[in-house]
Amino acid sequence: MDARLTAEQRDLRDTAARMARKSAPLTVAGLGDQTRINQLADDLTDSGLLELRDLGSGPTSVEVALVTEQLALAAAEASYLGPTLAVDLCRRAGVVAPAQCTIALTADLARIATQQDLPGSVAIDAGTAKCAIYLTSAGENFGLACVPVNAGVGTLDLTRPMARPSSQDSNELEGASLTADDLSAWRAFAHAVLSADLLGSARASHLAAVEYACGRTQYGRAVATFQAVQHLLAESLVLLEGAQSAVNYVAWAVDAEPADAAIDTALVSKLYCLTAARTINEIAIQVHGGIGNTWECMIHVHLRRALLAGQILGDEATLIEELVDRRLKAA
Amino acid sequence: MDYRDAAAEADFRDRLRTWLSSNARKGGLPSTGDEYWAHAAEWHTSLYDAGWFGVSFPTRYGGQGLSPVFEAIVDDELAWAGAPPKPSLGYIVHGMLRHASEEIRERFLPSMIAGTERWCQGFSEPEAGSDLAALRTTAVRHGDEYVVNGHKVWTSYSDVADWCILLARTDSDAPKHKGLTAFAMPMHQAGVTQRPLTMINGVSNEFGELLLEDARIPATNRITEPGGGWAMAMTVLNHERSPADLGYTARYSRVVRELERHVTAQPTVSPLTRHALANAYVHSEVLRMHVKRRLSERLSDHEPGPEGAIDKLLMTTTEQIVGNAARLGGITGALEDTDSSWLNIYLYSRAATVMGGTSQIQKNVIASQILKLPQR
Repeated sequence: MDARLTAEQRDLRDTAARMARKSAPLTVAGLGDQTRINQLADDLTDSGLLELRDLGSGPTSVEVALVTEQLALAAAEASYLGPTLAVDLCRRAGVVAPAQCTIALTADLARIATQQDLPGSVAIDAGTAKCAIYLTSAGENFGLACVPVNAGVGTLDLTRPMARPSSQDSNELEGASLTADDLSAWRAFAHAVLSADLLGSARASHLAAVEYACGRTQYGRAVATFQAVQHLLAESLVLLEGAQSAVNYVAWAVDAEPADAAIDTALVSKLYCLTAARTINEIAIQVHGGIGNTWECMIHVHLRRALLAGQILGDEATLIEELVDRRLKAA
Repeated sequence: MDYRDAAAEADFRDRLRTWLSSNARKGGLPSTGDEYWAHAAEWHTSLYDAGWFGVSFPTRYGGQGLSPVFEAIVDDELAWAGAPPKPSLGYIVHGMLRHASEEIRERFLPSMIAGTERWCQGFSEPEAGSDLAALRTTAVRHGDEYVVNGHKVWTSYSDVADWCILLARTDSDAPKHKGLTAFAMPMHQAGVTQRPLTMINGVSNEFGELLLEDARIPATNRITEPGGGWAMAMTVLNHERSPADLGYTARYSRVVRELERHVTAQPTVSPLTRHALANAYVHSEVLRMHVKRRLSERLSDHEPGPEGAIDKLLMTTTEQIVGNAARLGGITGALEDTDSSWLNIYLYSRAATVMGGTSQIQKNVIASQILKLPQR
């Protein structure tokens, strides 16, 4: 065992970090700047980071998690998560993913949409997506189809717009075939990536809170000198380190471990990270005081990203029930 | 990044698993009764004799000199076999390795690691808990020995220990952190009175206090330079805060697994208990992942420092979340007087955020030494 990142993995992380920072929104008012958004979309395409899960790619889940975390850390307005999940699903189905596509989920985001779900479904992370993929039935197995999307629904995550799949012009992806096990493995991969997304959002808020506490003066001293504030920030760091350890492990496990163990680990990691990210963001709001409760403070942008990530492919209640069922069945 | 076993690690794991299949002493649940502690010494020596304890300690002191990641294998396999965790000794060993002379190390480490001589840790005092440097026990040099007077409390394993790693004041004129020295004090002598302290869960075998009245320590048993005691205490505490050195991940995983079995046998399981079980599993697994990450960091010759405070908070949070699940899933056994072990696990878990440095002290350490927040 050597759980340290390799030199190549550290390089990739730093490259993604630079790319994300260069085009990151620095203020809430600065969200939606099309020049920056296009720049980041171009950079992501040019760098090949969107192709890490292409058909024929090796085990790259650690790399995908590193990129995802860095994009979340910068609250990047870029379609990465959705397209990567789409590409990975197509890979598992043995087909090449359509260009600029994301995934269509049921209205509650709990699972990937089927043909029947399509009318009320949403395409997540659809900023630059032209289409979304969904499941079709193909005998005992599943197939995939792709449908154009129309932008603009949802106000939860301000950095990653959702879209409505169109009601027409669906295209079957010829030759795509997925078993239920393939779908479970894909979902575990998704939870690993979502864990990394949650970690990035949490880290962003934690760093902002530390910086704010050191700069904000009350009673003639920085509020960071008060033990009550210090303990909040310490609690936040502890959660962040736990989440980091979970993300490192799950990112490796979903490509390397047998499916059953990987699914367990993915549920564990997602549950830990979604609670940690929400708590860290809430602490950051508290540390920012009155400012933390205003629209102009960036923390709610990170919190909203974390809330969305926490809903995708099963919310907290769903995942807890699923995990307990699995554990008690095995006991 | 690869969490898989390398060839030597896989071989080690296989051999350990085979050994455990016939040697895992199931015993009671960890830390729940005197019976569990009564067998602790026997478990230590059988683990050591078979080559499963002290695997990452240097060979010259009886360890095997393997990389720290082998410790994680031991913890995982002990948990999966339902065996007791390994003895919590790593922190004293690391303290000696870093601060003691070669002579002291050669004299004390082999029997300590082999489990033929047992140790307790004499740091805390009635008036020196969180403020450890305020300790008042004195060691005064008289010829070839030191004469020790004072009172130590919250001393784990004091009832069975042959030796005490004692922190005492040797210079009352020096600033309080600088007048402390560490010693290896023989426990079997007239000047040392050991009294058990009964824990909240009724266990009386693990915990005690020491009255030191003209206790004698040969001057050759001085572990650190005079005044060097504080630095050693910090090393010991950094390791004592580390779940990687304590082997506690095995303890939590085992409790969670047995609790799952216990609950499965019940006619109904409340939604709250189900939630608590999930939470206990999530936290014990994340702690396991965290230990693997930390042990890998030690491959870069990283000596544990203030991040031990983070690790301790992760560990004690886990212990209390597991304890809470035990309370919800097992309290009826105590009501019916059939099985109080789950209640005892819950009660014992409340000590976790106090012993080895309170959570509040850990947060102070994180704020000042890791986040480097301004202190005034």
